[in-house]
Amino acid sequence: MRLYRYFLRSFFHSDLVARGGDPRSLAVAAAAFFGAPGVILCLYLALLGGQGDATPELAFFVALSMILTGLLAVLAWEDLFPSRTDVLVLRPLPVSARRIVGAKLAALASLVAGFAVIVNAYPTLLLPWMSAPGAASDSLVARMMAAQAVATAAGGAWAFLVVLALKGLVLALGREAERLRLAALLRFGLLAALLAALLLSPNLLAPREFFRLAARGPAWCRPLFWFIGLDRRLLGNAPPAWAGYGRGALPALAGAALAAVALYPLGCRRQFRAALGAASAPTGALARALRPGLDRFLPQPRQRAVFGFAAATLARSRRHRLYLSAWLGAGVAVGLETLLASPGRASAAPVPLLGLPLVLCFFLLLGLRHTFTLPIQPAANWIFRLSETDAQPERLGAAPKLMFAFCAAPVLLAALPLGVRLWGWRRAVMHLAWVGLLAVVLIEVLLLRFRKLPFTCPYLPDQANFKILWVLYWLGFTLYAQTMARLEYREWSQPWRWAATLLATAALVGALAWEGRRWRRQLPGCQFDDEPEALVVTLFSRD
Amino acid sequence: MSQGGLELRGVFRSYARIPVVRGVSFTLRPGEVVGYLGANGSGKTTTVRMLAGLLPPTRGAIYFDGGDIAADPGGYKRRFGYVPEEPYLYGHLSGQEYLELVGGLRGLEPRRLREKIEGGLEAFGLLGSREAAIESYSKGMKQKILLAAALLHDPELLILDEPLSGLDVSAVLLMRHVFAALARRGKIVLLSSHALEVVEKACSRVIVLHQGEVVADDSVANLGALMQLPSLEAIFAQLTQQPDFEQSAARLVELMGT
Repeated sequence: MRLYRYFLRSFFHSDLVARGGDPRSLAVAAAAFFGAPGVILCLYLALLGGQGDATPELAFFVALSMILTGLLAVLAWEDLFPSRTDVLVLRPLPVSARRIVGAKLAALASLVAGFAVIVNAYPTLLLPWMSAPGAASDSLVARMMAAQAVATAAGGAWAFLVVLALKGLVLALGREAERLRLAALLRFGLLAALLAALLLSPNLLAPREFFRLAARGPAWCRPLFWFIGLDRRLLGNAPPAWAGYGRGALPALAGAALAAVALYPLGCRRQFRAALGAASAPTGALARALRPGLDRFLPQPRQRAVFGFAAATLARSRRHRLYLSAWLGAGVAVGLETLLASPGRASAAPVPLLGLPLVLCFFLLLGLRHTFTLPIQPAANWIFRLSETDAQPERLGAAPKLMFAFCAAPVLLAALPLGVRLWGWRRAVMHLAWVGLLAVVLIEVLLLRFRKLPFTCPYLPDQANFKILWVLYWLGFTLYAQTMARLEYREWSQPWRWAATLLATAALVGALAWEGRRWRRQLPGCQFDDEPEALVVTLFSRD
Repeated sequence: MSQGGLELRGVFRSYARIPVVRGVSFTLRPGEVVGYLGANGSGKTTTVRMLAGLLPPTRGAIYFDGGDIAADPGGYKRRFGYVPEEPYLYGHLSGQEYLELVGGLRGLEPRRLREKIEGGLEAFGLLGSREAAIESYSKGMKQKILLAAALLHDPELLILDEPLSGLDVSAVLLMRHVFAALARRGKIVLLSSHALEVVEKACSRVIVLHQGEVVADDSVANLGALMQLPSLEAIFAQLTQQPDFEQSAARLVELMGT
């Protein structure tokens, strides 16, 4: 029982919790955060009133349960299996491996069950009550509630088991270094995909869109329809199409459970073995291969040092990658949403397609700018403090280059073949020059008055005022991604005007870069503390 | 004011109004290897952090080559190397990458830096694990990386806080010779350590701190002759008023055994 409690508590230990904050308050905050969408939508539907076919609403809640439980599994990725610390602490004690694994599984089951209640309870109680026909008996409403509870819980459990099985598979594969790389890629991809799905899920509430998807939806939508079909079958009045889908639910759930059960012990065994060996994290052949190129690209030694450090942090720190992939997922979702909302002929360069690289750049650049404020091992930043000289512009100049290399450059490279195929070389290059220039403008704006080196300054929670910031972000997004795409579309057929616009933007880039350099030259030093001296005293006072 | 070397003049430091360092004054001359000794909580590490510019003194001043270090912190930082008490390193970097980071921050040119890194890693026996992440290193390996990093830019002053903790015998021997070689080249080495036998062999002078105050500042030979004691261990025990260890140990074992 103690082991079970220990594992359950460990899910709520996060280094992003405020100093002095306790895991219980994190659990309450997480419950409020994940439970809120269901509550808000139910209240909204209650206000709208109306009865009838509530399959789109049901689909939304099943999808919400699946996506949020999948997200929970991805966020708790490191805690899905006993960690290295768990093994090193618990194995020397008289506790068998079987008991450790059993306690971990029980804690995971409790977490998922509690989470299912938080996410699904309110919609399960309200939706059947609101959508039942006027003459429906109490027993019918109760049956509808039970069917919805089973369908949403089964959908969530399926998503969790799939992620668990995937992690087990990764742990069981190959050598330690390959496993770590594969796990990082998989987690990044899953998080981005789930966030994109979460942002796209409200489309299910539009009946036309929902029934179109149900009739001719892509294969990756099928798991959702299995569990909607399950609900309809449990009610006993399923139309043939839904009954067909519903027949897939139990085999899918059983398949995921079997895969998880088979792979979990295997993964645990590999985890135990790896924990007792040295904790080796590979430093990457790619970094070694890129080193000579870096010397040429960044000739100033201090700038190269800061760039290399920040690039290694982004490439290797799970926490930073996770944070950035969340922003990428949001960008992908918004980009897809814009494309789906306005179908048009791609060859005619419609605004949404022109805006897609801008949307991705916006989210990635904003995400990376926020990620810069998350430190990695803040106690180790003494080396940056001690090597501080009057060469501040050189050191601070690494951040814009890093933002361009990690955010804008990949988007431009990915967009080039597509642009060439759709519009030919000349147009594609002009389009990408526009996207590149706007990316540099955004980088300079985001780094205005930023006097920290990436990942070196301790993080203070509750500093960002999101109540104001989200309005600014929304305005910025509208101006950057939508207005600029429209501007490009308007000038598309007038080469001279278009060339003048590009020149004007290049001049703006030059002015912003000049102002940035001037400001950096005047700085007395970089910023390493957001705290008053008290924290410094605590950090350095041990004798 | 002294014209060469490092001078502390009446340096005080308090935490929450509790004095930790009380009026410490001493001078270190070029070519000296000086041991800085004191029991836990004597103010040793606080002094070292003030010397490294990580903490400002509450009162008093520190001069290097005649200039107040507070007047030109950037210039001072270029001229010294530092090894902290705890091996705070970026665990996600490899040993080679960490040294490249430090060398880069010190403004060293890539080719010269790579030669120095190669030589440093070879001397410390770390060539085989140069590409492994630091988080997989043992404490001694981390300490070796810190020592190599502190030497990269050829500093005039080396401030070392417990640099030998976790090092194997051969690395300790190497470090003793490195200190001597640095002193011969006119560098100043301040070695804050609890390893009395190493300090006794490596240092030309020792400064003993007790409850934030300097209680002795001389060569080991002179202190031994003055106090009529045979070893640095005995001198240290008497100066810092250590209790009877034999009696304390017997009491502890008896208590734990009941």
